[in-house]
Amino acid sequence: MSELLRNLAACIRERADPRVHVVTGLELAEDEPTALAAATPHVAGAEVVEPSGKIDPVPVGDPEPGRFGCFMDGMERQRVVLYFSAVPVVYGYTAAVIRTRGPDRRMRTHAPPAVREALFYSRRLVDLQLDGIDSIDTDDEEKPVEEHPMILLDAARKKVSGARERLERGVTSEWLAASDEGKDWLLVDGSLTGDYDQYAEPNMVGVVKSHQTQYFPMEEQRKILGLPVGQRSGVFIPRGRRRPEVYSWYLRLRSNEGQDVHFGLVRIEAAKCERTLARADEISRWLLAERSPLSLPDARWDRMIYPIRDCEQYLRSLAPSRTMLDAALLRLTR
Amino acid sequence: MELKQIGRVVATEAKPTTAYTFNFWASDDAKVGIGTLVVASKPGLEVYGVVVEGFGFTDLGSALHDYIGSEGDPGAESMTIRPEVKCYTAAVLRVDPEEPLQPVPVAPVYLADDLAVGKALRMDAFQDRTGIPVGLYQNGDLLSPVYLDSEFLLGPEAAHLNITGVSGLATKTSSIEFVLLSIFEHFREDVAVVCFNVKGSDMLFLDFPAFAREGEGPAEPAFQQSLDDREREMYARLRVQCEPFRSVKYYAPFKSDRVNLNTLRTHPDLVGSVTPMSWGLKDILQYTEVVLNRDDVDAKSDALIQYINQRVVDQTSEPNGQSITVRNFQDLNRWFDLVLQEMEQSNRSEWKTHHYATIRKVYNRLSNLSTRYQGLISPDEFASDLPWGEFEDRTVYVVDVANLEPQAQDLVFTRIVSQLRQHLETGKLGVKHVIVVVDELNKYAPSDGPDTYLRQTLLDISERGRYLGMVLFSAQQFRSQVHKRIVGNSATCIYGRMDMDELATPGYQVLTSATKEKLATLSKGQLMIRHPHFAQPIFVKFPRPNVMRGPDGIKMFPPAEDLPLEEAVWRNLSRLDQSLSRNEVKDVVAAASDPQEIVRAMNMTLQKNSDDPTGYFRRAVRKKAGVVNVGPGEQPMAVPGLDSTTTDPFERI
Repeated sequence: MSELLRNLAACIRERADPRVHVVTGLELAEDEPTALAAATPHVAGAEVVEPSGKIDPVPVGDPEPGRFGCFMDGMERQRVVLYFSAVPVVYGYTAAVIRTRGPDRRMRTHAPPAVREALFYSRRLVDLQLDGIDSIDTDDEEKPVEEHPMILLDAARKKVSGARERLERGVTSEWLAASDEGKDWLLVDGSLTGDYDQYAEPNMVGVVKSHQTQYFPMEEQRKILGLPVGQRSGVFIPRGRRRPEVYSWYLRLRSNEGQDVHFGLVRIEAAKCERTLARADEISRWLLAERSPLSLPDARWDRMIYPIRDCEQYLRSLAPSRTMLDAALLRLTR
Repeated sequence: MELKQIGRVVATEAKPTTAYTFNFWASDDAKVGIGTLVVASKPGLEVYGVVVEGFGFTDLGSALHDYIGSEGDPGAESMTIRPEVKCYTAAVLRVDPEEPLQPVPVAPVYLADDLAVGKALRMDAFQDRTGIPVGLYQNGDLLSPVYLDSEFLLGPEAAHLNITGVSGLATKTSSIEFVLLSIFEHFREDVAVVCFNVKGSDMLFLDFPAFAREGEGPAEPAFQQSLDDREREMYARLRVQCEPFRSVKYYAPFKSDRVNLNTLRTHPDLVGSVTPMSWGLKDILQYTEVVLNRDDVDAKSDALIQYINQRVVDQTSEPNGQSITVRNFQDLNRWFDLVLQEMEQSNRSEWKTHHYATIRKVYNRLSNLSTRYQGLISPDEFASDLPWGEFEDRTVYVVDVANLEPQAQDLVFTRIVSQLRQHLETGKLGVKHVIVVVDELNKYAPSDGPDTYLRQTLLDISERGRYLGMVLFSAQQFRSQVHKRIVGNSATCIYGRMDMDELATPGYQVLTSATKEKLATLSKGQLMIRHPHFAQPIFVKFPRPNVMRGPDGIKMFPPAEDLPLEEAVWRNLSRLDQSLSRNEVKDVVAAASDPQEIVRAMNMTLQKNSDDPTGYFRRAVRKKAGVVNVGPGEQPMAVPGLDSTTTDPFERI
C-alpha cells in the first residue's frame, strides 16, 4: 500500500468526520482512453513550411534503423476515493518514465520513473486536514469551479492530466540536459508539450496518435487521410495550441486499406528548426522501422510503436491497482 | 542466509500459491531448471521447493501478431526484442517452521546451497548417522551430496530399491553398483550382497576396475574412458572410494557335461574364482514344487515326497529286504526299484499307504530331475553351494543364472532366497543384512502372466524381507509391467532415462509434464530419486562406478572353449595338486567305468580338499570291469574269458 493511502486511511479513521463518505469498488480510470473520451474534436489552423509549400504526400523511402534509443511515456490513474459533503476527492497517480533500448535491442529503465501520488479536490470546499498527504487544488486561481459534483470531478481529472504532463516534461528536460547531442534520440508519446527553446536542435520527436484536432480544411485534409503507407505529408506548424511551436507532419505507418481513414496514421512533432525540415524523411524512415514488433493487443497498435507500449507496461506494473486502493479504503467504510 | 537470489515468488488470481506449490519468476541468467532446488525465504519462514514445471512467455498475444509484425519474413529482425519472462512452478519440499501450514508467501527466491539441500530433503536429520550417499544434486556449478537414509533403504523402517530405465545406457546396472559401493563404504552394520546375474556378463567382473591405467589392460577405444577430474571430484564429494568391489565370490552351475561351468567367466585366469553351484537330492527335495509341474504334485505325490524326505533320505531303510542308504539321486533310483520290486513280488498295490501308481509317478518325475537340470542338480552326492552360515561382510556373491532355463532359474532364486531367509531368521547367515539384486523384473515378476515361484519369492522378499534384514534391489525397463506389490513396497525408487510410452502409463501421473520430459531425455549418469524423506522426486548425478562392464570384461578375458573331459579334470585337479600330470589323469579316465564316474570323482575330490587330491581322486573312481590298479613291479591280473552260456558278462566279476 502506498504511503499516501496509508496516511489517508489513518487521517480519516482518526477524525471520523461524518461528512466523509468513502467510496470503494470503483474501477480506476486510466490514461489516454479517458482523456480522449473527454476531448472534443475541433479544427485548428496550420502553416505549411514544407519547401514545396504544399501538404501533398511525400514518399519517405524504405524503413531504416534509426537513432531512437530512448522512449518516454507517462501514465495516470484516478478515482474518486471519497466525497466530503458531496464534493469529490480524487486520488490521482501519475508517472513518467524514459526507457532505453540497448545494443541488444532490449528495453531497460533509464532512470527511476517520476511518480506523483496526490489527492485532487477543491480546497475551498473540502475542509480536510490531511497532514502529510500531497494534494492539489482543483480550483483555478482566477475562476472557481462551480459546485456541481460532475464539474468538480471533471476539473480534478484535468488537474491529474496536468500533473502527468508536468512529470513528462520533467523527465524529458532531465534527459535533454543529460544527453549528448548527436547521439541517441528520444521518442516521446504524444505532443511535445515542454519549452525546449534552450536547445537549438533537441534530438527529440513526439508521435501523436490521436487526431481530435484537424489542422487543415477538408480539401487538404483529404490528402492527409489518403496518404499511402510509407508516405508523409508536408511539414507544417500547428496553430492554436498553448504550447511552444513545433514542426509537424503526418505519416502513414500502415496501410489503411479496408480500415478506418485514421488507421496507421500518426502525426510527428519535432523541434522547430532547419534540421527537422532537412531530416523529416529520415525521421519518418526511422519510425517506419519501429513498426515491428507489433504493439498488439493494445487497441491502438496501428499507431503505437512497441517501445512506447513497453513504457506503458512498465509504468502499469508499478502503479496501484483497484484492489490495492480498495484494500486501503475498505476498512474505512465499516 | 547467504544464498544467491535468483527470482521472486509471484501469486496471481489465476495462479495462486498454495501450501504445496508456488510460482516464481527468475532472472535471465539464473541457473534454474526442472529439478532445481530453491528456497523462498522471508524473516521467520523458509520454504524449500523443487522446480517441477517451467514456462516462458512474452507479451505476444498470438503467433499471428509476430507473423504480421515480421511481414511474414522469419529472418526479419525487429528493432526491439520483446521482454521474455521465465516462470517456474516449485513443489514444496519442506516448510520451516512446519506449522501453521499456509500458502507460500510472496518472497525472494534463492538457489539452494549444500545446507539448504540438506534441509530441503530432510537429510539434516539423518545424514551423519544413517546417510548413504547416492549421488550429487547439481545446483549451477555446485554439487551437493544427496543421501538416502539406510533405515529406509535397508530397513527396519522401510526397505528395498527399485530402478527403472531404458536399456542400453548402463544406468540401471551402474547405479545399483554405485549404491552398493556406497553402502559398503557408509553403512555401519555388516551387509552382504547376493547378485543374480540374469543376462550376459553384466555382473561377472565386479572385482575388476573399469578404467585401465596407462600401460595396464587393453587400451582399445571400446573400453570405458577413464574418469575425468570432475568424476573423481564427485567420488570425493560422496566420500566413496573409486575402486571396484574388494570381495566378490562367483557361483555358476555346470553345463550338462558337469565339468565346464555354465558362465561367461571361464577365462583360464578367472575360472578358478568361480565356485560350481551343484545341488544334490537333499538340497532340492524340499523345493520339488518348484521344479515339478503343478499337475504332478498332487496331494498323494506330495505325501510320498514328504515321506521320502523325512524317512528315506540320509537314512537306512530295507525295501525288499535289502539295506540301502539314500544319499543321492542314484541311490534314490535304486530305492524306488527295490520298493517297486517288493510290491510286484508281493503282488501288493500299496506300499506304506502309497499306491503303486503314485510311486511310479513320483519315481518318474524325481528320477528325471537330474537329467532335466543337468549341471545344476547332481545325480551323485557331490554338492557345492553358497557358504551358508559363513557369509562375509562387504562381500558380493554373484550367482550366474544367465544361461539357465527359466524353471532352473526359478529353482535357483527360490532356493537361495529361502536359504537366506532361513539363515537370517536364525541369525546364522554370517551377516545381519543381505541385499538381493535382481535385474529384468519385467521378466521375473511381471504384473500379469502365470504365477511362478520366482515371482512369489520376490513378493515374499519385498513384503517381509525387511523384518529379517533381507532387502531387494531390483531393476527393470518398464516399471508399469512389474507386479505392483513389488514396486509398491520399494521405499526408494530410482528412475533413469525413460521411454515416453512408459511415462504415459498411469503410474507416472503424479509427475508433471516437464518432469516427464526431463526423464525422457536424461543423460547417462543422471537419475531421478524418490525416497521416503523426499517430499518430491529429486534429480541427481552419480559417477560411473569403477567396475568393469560386462562387455569389456569379455573382451579382456574371453571365455574359454569348453574343455574335453580329461583336460577339464586335469585343470581342476592341478589347482589342488600342481604335480599332477595329464597322463595320470588320462590313465584314470581310461580305467573309469564311465565319464560320469570321472566327473563324480573329480567333484568329490574338489569338495573334499584332501591332502592328497590325486590319490583321493584315483580311489574315488569306480573302475571299469576287469581293470584293477596295478602297483609298480606287479603283473597285470588276467581277465577271465567270457562264457557263452552266461547271459550277463559282468556277473562273474
